[in-house]
Amino acid sequence: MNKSIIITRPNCSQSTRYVFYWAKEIIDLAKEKGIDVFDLKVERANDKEFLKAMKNNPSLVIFNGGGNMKKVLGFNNEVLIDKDSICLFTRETTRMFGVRNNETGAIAYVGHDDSYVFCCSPANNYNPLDDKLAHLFLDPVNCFSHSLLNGLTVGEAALKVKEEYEKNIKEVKNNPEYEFALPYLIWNMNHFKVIGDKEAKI
Amino acid sequence: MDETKAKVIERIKCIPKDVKISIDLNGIYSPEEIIEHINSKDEIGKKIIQIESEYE
Repeated sequence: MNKSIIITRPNCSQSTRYVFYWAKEIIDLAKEKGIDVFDLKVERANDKEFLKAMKNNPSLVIFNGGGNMKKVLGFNNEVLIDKDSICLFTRETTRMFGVRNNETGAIAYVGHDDSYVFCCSPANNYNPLDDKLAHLFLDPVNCFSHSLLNGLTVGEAALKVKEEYEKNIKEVKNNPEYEFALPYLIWNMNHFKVIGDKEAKI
Repeated sequence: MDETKAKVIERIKCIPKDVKISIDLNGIYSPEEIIEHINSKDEIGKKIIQIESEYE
């Protein structure tokens, strides 16, 4: 069976609209690498489609919907995973990514162990990808998927994320226009965590 | 706590009005709305105070 990944991107609010656009880069890269992509976008980010896609034993699941520490949401806030879900990628303490090596069985859960926050400037940017402020927050998270797709282990990819956050924090410190963003970038960096096997790769 | 809250509100007032803050991809808030949440002492307001206070 070919390697596959699942990406949910419900695009049902202003904030999920941002990550919807950011996920496109990951989808394109995965396709370039010959990986099957289950792109559960907009209405397809629902429980039924998610469970159907999970039957393909994906190596990576990326959630781009709302939620909190106890549940992950899809389109129109339908619950995709909660504490009662029978799902390999269920884990209460982190969210956003599940990684599984189908050959070795290594599993890791990666994400933020507290609220994930980002600043953006939607009024000035019709296309979210033109929003320089949002890039400071969303690029480090994308860097994780990017690194995994390029063959790095979860541990190595997480280090890349930290480096990306540090680079952006330094940039913000040197730019008075964005100084207000500093507490939120530092918060995200400090709460980005890996649980499970850091040697896992897709 | 009131002193912390006042400090945080002062910081939030410095955020440009066109900036919005998303929390957990559940909601997106202008600085003015954030201040309302802080004054309401709800979960969003408490989270912003926690983030800003950790930075200090």
